[in-house]
Amino acid sequence: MPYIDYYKILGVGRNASAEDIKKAYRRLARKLHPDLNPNDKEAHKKFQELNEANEVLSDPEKRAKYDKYGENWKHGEEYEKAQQQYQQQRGRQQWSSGEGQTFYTEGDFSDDDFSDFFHSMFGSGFNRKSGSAGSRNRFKGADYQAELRLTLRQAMQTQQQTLTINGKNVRITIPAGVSDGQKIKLAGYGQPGVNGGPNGDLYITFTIGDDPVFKRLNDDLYTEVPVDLYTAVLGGGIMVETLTGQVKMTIKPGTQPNTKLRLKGKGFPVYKKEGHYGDLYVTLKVQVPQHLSDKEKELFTQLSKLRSQ
Amino acid sequence: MNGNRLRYSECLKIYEVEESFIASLHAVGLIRVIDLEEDRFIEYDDLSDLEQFIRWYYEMDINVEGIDALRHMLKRVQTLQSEIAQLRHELQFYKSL
Repeated sequence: MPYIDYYKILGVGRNASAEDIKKAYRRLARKLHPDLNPNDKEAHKKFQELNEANEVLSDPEKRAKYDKYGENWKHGEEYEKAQQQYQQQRGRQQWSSGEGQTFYTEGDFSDDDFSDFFHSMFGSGFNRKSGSAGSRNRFKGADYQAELRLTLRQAMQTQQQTLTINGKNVRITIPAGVSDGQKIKLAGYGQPGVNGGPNGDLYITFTIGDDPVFKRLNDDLYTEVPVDLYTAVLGGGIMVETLTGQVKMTIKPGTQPNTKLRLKGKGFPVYKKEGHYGDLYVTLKVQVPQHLSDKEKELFTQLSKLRSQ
Repeated sequence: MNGNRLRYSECLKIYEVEESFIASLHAVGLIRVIDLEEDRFIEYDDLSDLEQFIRWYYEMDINVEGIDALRHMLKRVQTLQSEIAQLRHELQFYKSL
């Protein structure tokens, strides 16, 4: 656990006044605050460091302790005690999440956002009144951000999923046709409100995995199907896999390699439009026979001669 | 409180903010204030935004005009981010063909 130089993070000298620290914090917060850097995990991380530095240096008691022990923080008499207290607290605050789900909050900070170095020096009770981010009164609970991974085939059906949020099972309905990167809001499923305030909301961002057979672009699906040379030349029928089962497709005589055919309404369900589907585009991959027998070679040669006459 | 609304006076008390600040946010259209039966309310749905504006104003020292400009820019950023995500998705699709 390395020593953290809070003065360096805030870009101030060791003799900086409380006003200098406040100004430095505000200047950097305007650059790094997650509110102003949506979806930027690097900025979020840097802001956590800034927030922690401000938490320590803007509190005269913490600053005095930090200045006293400094790089020798490990020898601080309260180290052991604080460490124990932190471990106990951390044990109570563990989040749980089901498979394929990741939860985090954005724009709001909790004890868990502080470094091990901070916890070792000051224990778990950081001071929300000291003026750092998140210290203003809250009424509405913080919003939760969650990521949920689905396979393409899961996303094609409306389904129920149970998420575990802070030990509570929350059953949600995911409409068919949800897209990769799409975010949905579940009002009231965030952190509980403060002093009777409304709960925060839960935002779920979906990640749709690749499928070995189908590729998706908006509501349309794309797939490749092998066709033997003879069917491509003479025409015939082939069976094509769709998301809802196999369908027979007619191949016209003289079909060229990589011909793209459309199966109307056999694509992906359109989000929140029951009974509406995109199309399925089938690219025909003509298979040229390999390892020909002598007889086959002879016949192909005859064909070739016929074509060149 | 009134259903899914917070009384204006309660809002000032809970967040410990000046009335002029909320009034300025309302004046530039950043939050909605509802007049109902001789009382004023703020919708619960607007509280996340309000809490964000309070953070910007009191902790980052950004004035209301700055908040308005930031809000506008952030909306633009979000729109551009979704466009980039969509284009990346399409690019990935065409690359995989």
